[in-house]
Formats: sequence, structure tokens, C-alpha cells
Amino acid sequence: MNFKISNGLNLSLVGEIENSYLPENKTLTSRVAILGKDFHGIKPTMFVSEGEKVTQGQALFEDKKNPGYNFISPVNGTVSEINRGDRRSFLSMIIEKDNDDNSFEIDTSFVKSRDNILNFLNVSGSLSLFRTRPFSKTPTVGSHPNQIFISLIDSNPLSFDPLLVIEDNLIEFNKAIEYLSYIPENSIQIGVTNACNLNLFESEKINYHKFSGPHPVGLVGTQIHKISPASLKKKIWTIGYQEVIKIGKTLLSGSLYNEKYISFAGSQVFKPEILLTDYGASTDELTVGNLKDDENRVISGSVLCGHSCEGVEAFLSYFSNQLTVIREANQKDRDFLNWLRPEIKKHSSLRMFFASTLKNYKYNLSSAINGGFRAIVPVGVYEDIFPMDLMIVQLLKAIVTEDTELAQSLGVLELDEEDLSLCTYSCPSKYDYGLILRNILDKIEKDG
Amino acid sequence: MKDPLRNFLDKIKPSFQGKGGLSYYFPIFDVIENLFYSSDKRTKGLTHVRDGSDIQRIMVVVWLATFPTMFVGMYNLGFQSLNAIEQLTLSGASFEKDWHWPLITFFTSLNPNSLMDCLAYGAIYFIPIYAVVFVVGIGCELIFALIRRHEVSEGAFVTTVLFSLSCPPDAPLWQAALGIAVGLVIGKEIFGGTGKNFLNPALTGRAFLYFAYPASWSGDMSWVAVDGYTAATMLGTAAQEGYQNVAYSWNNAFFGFIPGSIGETSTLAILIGLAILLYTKVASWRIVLGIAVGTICTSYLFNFVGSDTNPMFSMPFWWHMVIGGYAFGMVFMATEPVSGSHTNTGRWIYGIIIGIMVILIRVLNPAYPEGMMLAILFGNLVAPLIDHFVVQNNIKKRLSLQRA
Repeated sequence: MNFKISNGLNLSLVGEIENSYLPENKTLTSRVAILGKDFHGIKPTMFVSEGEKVTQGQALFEDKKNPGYNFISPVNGTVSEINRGDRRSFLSMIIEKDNDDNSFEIDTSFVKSRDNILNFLNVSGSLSLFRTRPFSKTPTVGSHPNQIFISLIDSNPLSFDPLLVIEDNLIEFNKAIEYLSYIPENSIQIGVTNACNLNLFESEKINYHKFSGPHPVGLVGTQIHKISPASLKKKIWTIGYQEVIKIGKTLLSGSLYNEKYISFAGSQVFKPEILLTDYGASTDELTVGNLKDDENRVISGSVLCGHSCEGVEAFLSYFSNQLTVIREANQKDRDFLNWLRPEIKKHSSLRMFFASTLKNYKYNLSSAINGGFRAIVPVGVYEDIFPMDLMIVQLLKAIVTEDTELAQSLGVLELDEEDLSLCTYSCPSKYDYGLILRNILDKIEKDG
Repeated sequence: MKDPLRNFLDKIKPSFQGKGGLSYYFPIFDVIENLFYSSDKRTKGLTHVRDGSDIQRIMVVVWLATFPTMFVGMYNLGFQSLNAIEQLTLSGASFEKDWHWPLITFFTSLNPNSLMDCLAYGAIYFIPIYAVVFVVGIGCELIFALIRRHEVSEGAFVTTVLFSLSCPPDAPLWQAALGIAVGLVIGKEIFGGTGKNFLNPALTGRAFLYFAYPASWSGDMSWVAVDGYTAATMLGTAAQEGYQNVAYSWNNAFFGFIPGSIGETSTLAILIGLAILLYTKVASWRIVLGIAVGTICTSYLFNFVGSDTNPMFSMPFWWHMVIGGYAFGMVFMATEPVSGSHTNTGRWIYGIIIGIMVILIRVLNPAYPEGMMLAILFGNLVAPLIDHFVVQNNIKKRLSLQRA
């Protein structure tokens, strides 16, 4: 099926990747981490303690809420820190790497069946590469989805084309989707661009859908909504294309690979490029020597949706294919009589500034919030940038007022934080809908 | 090197924060700081960059969009009034001279052909109204911000200018003050402030005065700012004698050389404002187009039906659109996002309903010649209902998709 999306926003920023080719060599980092942020609501029971040596494949912890699934060590090394935050919530587990050997071996000679493949995913630690929709959590052991969604489009600002990576790893990718197609009740749905002419694995359990249009066309949430919306009854799993390749590599070789490509870009990066690095690599090490001298914000993910890499959480998120660095806002950004200025450097989805008349203008945005907090004024900006057929203003109001029942009937269960990131970006009242959405989803899940 | 104003604000800020002695008055400090400097807050969550526009900017755009009609209106008021004075003087009639008169003789030479004289005359009448309305309006907003502990919204800024522009130029100032207070408090603040109101506050105030003091707010005394001079509005004359017998041509009405409220006379200037609002996407084109469609269809229907006794039946839509508060209401009042419909489909329906209602009221209702104000207030009242059905429809559609 063809889907043409018209509502959305392509944010064009300075600091794009200059050369669109994949690097030959891996950028090594000495430390990797597993971040609590990546796995919503995780309550780990630790099997290891700080200072303990671990080998690749060794169980590190189990989620109390998802018994039977062990997070395994992606590398050989030493657990250097286990960090916890408020109310003992899990922040991060940092592992000091010893070497880059792939010592862990997994049997891949099993007969292709749903149970065997789910078991393989569990043993190889691959279950945590999936996320459920609704709720965006790691699937529970023993469950299986109605459908699996994979997006081969990346429409985020400053991202690179996924086809570059898939082309290079086509065999692995095809192998993995062949196996994964046994898992869902229904089928695997894959979103591709019109330009995709790769020889992807075909079967009656795998459907390809062509998508075109502005961001958020590449977000899997947008594609799910257009193809087959998720609900409490219809469970969906999603997985990123690089994670599919990771599974494919394990299926082909029997060992665990812990590497992924990320774009390293943004206004504060000297030489924006694509890097090959570890899952959960230390962002301090990746960025060293390549950043402009200023107060910077390092983001694992895109400027629209990503984790701030700070302190004990200065590591790549498992789920993002980007590392973006922008300038922090400071006192100099406080413009005198701002409301009267014609302003040429700011971007607005309401055409408020002169820059909106310039085509191909690249914006240099900082972390400034650009305004005061106000009540929601429905000026129609949300409808313009939100591609799903949901009553977005009413939905945003419902989640702000914590009306879980209304929010559910309006389709909140279809959403993940990244789906609302453009609403947060464009909101003239400066709400952060991502944070609010997560609270509502937690509440709905808790209330059953 | 910081500038002195910044230094001063930084110095007094602590006493407005936390346990500072003046912390109760933080909203006032916040307004002043926001007026001079943009926010220094940083993004916190997952979204790290933000759009450059905020509510302040949006409100300022609306405010600027009213400038063309404000200035043309002031000029026209001066033009109408100075001509009236000339006529009265020539015929030897005397007219009352109130407190405006010394200012008028000081700033103008009573020459209706001078641009500056006309503009000054208009300003002498308009600026006091705007000043009083502004002070009272912002005062109400501040008091509620302090009591209800919410931030001062720039919405009151727009409400006051729109309200002032819809005032008859010769209206008593105390009535204008009363009107804006009623509009802001009853129309907005008691529901929780900007973003939570369901009536347009400026129109609420205007409607209150319309019914409370009909003599000065809808009669034929107030439209030309010369005391004792009567000039019916075009709409009033058209309702009595038919549009063909109005003393002004369609062009006069379109460019704005007719008696009326300052903001409402020049359709052309209002259209410039509309262009600004549509380009910046602050106003919904769906509402504007909806009103136009509703108006055109309904007035054609009445043209077709015809009437021997009611001359309004035969008025074509292009006359409806240039006289009375039609254009001003369509562009600045009906498009107010909070009191209008909140869904795109709903915005069409909301617009069409207003377009139908304004013609119904103007043509069929014997008591009030002006229909736009009441039509928009009616639209405000049904907007939540429209949204309810649009939303329910979406929910039902999605449920059936899920079952399939």
C-alpha cells in the first residue's frame, strides 16, 4: 500500500552529515552502559555487583516485572558503576570493557517455529530490542504480538538514510525478518520509502508499505497508525532496522554483535559524520575533541526526541541511531523586546519570522524554550504537524488534565513520546507533552 | 556587560521569588520581565529544541494586524466629524463642546481635507477609549492572576484592543470601562483565564453594553464624534430604507468612509489584517471561508425569496460584507481560537453557522440591525457542541476500524 503523509514538519538544521558513507572502522569506547531510561518502568534484580568481572552473555539483572528475561552483558569487562536515582529507580549500569571479543556463542540450529525463535531472542538478550505498542516497554516473556512493525525510513532531523546500512547488511537483515515473521499472529509490516529498491526478503507474512511525506513519516508510530492501529487487544511489537540486523548477525554467526551505526551531527559538531560504535557507548568518549567550545547539550537521539547525555547517563540509548549536539541556551539569548523583533534566525511552524519566507534556510537552534508557560490556545498548529487521524487538541488537553478514560477513547494508547515530539516542539504554550504522555501511559497501565 | 535594566531586574527579582517579601506579586514582576526580555528557560524533557513563537508573539501579531484598521478608522472618524462640524458651522447651528474640544482645537485646524487633522481628531477620541479599556482590562487580568495564582496571559492585550476598536467613538468612557471589565471577568476569568473561556471576552463586553446602554451603543448618536450630531450607521439606514437608498456607495463602505465604530468601517484595512493573520496561521482560514460561504448562500436565499415589506431581503452579500461589524467580526472576533471550534472539521461548521446566523439576524430580526456580534456569540455557544460531535465521530470511526 502507498501512504502519502501531508501533515508534518521537516526541520532543517545546521550540522548535517557531510559524507553519506559508512565508516570502515569502529570508533572504540572503553565504557558501555545499559540505561534505565531505555526500558520504561524497569525494576532490576541485580545478579552482579559493582567491581565484578562479567563476560559477554552473562546475566546482569532480571526485571522483577518481567520474570524470565535476563539482561545479558553485551561485552567482556568489569561492572564499574550501578547508578540509582530517586526512590531507587535504575539509572544506569556502566561496564568498563576489557576487549572487543565476541566470546558468547548461541545455538542457531533450531527448527523455525514461534516458540523456538522467541526462546532464541530470550537467550540471546534480544527481547529488549523490541518495544511493545501500547506502552513502549520490553515485551513480557511468553507473550507474542499480533504484528511486528519495522520502519526503514528515518525522517528525524540530522539523521542518515537507513538504506545505506541495510544495503551493506542485506543478508543479515533478510535472515532476521525471515525468522521474525514466525513470531506475530498476523504478519510483519515494514515501512519503506519510494526510493527503496533493495532486494528485501519476501513472504506472505511480510508486507511492505510505501510511505512518503515530511517527518514524522519515518516514525514507526505514524506507520502503525496508518496501517493497523495498536490497542489493548491488538498488541504490536516494534523494532529498529539496526536491531533487526543485530539479530540477523547473531542468527548467521551464532555470536553476539554489539555494534551499530549512528549519525554524529548538530550545530556544535566540527565534523558531522556517521560512526560505527557500540550499543550504549560512552558519549563523552565519542564526542571528545570534536565539539565546539561552548556549553553544549549532547543528545542521544534527535533534537526532537532523545535523551540528554549527562553524568551517569552520558551513554547512547539502545534505540537511537543518532548523537546530536546543540548549544545550550544562555543569558545572551534573552532578547530585549523580543516580541517586537522581526527575527530572522528563529523557526516557527506558524510563519512568525522572516526565515519562514526563505527556502532551504538551515536553522541553528539552541535549547531555549522560547517563551513562557501558558494554557493551551488551539491555534491550529498541532493539526498542521500531526499526521495521525486523532483529535489531537482534545487528546493533548485530555492528557494534560489526566483524564485517562477520555485520553484512551481519543487514541492515547497508539502513542509513544516520539509521536508527540513535534507537538511539543510547536506548542506555543510550551508544554512538554512527552513527559505528560509517559505519566498517563503509566497510570493507564497500572489501573489495568 | 549587562545593560542597566537587566541589572535592575536581576537585583529586584529575588524579593519576588520564593520567600521574598513580594513573592505574592510575582505575576506582576513576571509581566514586566517578559515585556522587556525573552524567557531564559531551557528545555528539559525529550524534546530539546522549541519553536520560536509563543503566546506573547501570537498576541502581538494579532495586535499588529489591527493597526491598519485602527489608523484608517481614526482617520475616517476625523474625516466624518470634521465634515459634520463644517456643515454645522455653515448652517449656523451650534453643537456641544465637551472635554475633547480644547484638545481638538489645540491639535487640529478643523480642516476635513487635511490628513493630519483627521488623524489627530480620530486619535483624540480613540486614544482615551483605548487607554481606559487597556488599564481596566490589564488591571482585571492582573488581579485575577494574583488571586488565582496563574501567569498573566497576553490574551487581555488583544481583548482590550479589539474591544476598543468595536466601541462607538463617542461612547462614555465609564461605560467602556464597565464593558471591558464585564467582558474579561464574566467572559474569561471566571472560567480560568485565557485558553479556558468559551465566549469571546471582547464580544461579551460589547454585547453587555449593547443591551445595557442601547442609546450610546446602538443608537444614531455615537458614530460621528460630534456631540449633538446624529448619523445612523449604514446598516441602520439599510434596514429602514433599503441598501439602495443609503447615502454612501459600496466603495465608500469598502474603503471605510462611513460612520461607524473605529475598527469596523474600513473593510480594506481589515482585509490587510486578515492577510497578516492568515499568513502567520494565527487565524483559521477554515473559519473565515466558512463564514463567507454561509453568508453568500443565505443572502442568495433571501434575495431569491424576496419581500415587499423588508428591504433587507434584497441586500446582496457583497453589501452585507462591507457594512456594519461584519468584516471586523469575521476577521478578528470569530477567528479567536479559544472560543471558536477546536477541530478542523468543526471550524468549517462553526464558520458556516456564523455566516448563516448573521444574515438571519440582520434580515429577519426587527430589533437589532447588527447581527455579527450576536451571530459570533451564538457560534461560541455551539462550538463545544460541534466539537463534541466531531470528536465522537472520530472515536466511532476508529473503533470500527479496530473491530475490522
